[in-house]
Amino acid sequence: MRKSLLMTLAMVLFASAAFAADGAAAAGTAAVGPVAAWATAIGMGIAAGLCGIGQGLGLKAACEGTARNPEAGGKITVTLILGLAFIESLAIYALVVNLILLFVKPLGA
Amino acid sequence: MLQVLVKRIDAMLYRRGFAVTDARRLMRNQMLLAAGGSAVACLATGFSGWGFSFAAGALIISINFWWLSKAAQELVQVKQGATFTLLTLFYGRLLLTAVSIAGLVAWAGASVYGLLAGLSTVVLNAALWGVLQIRHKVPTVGKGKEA
Repeated sequence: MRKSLLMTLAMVLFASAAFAADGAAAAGTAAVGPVAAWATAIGMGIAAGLCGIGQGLGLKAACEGTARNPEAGGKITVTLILGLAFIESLAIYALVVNLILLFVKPLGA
Repeated sequence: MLQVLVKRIDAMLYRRGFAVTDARRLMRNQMLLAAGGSAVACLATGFSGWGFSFAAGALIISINFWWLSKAAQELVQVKQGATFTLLTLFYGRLLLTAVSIAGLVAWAGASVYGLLAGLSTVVLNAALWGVLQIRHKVPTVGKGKEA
């Protein structure tokens, strides 16, 4: 069962890579998109990943704290909400900056 | 007038599941800050694009904060069977926020600075909350070592 699943996954991955290579060959050098698109993709990936790590650490600490001292759950929850809001606002700022780069194009295409 | 409004908002939030008092206060402050800031921005700029962008940003981030608060309250004390609802709430909120911001920036032509200012109301709310908490903890008499 596990072997067949792995085989299917490998086939899907190789097939998509092969199709992508065909497309790139057909399009010539136009396969590389504009720099801004790559920049936004990488920037959003970094922002989302790091914010995810931050939120996960905060939530882990809050759950541990509540498990050790359930009476402090209310205060911990408020601190957690504030922390999550701060971290998520950073991700939203990154999203807005990326959207500006992608659609408004202040630095050109 | 303001006290009546605050009491009504508090009662509404309690009915909607904001059981933790401080979380309720935070949400209420966010609502008042977003509504007041949007009104001031719209009036001060003569109902220009900047004011409307500020209002849109404040609205988006307030809805986002509402769902975040609810999810965080339930995450700390997860009830059985609530995991799927929580996940849906969390990812639905992210998707809605992203789609609405993308729509405003890319297609509606909203003012980016106004939008960013509106989105910053939640940071301002949290910062104000922190400052007020520190102020309340400062001892009025002595050096604070007596206790």
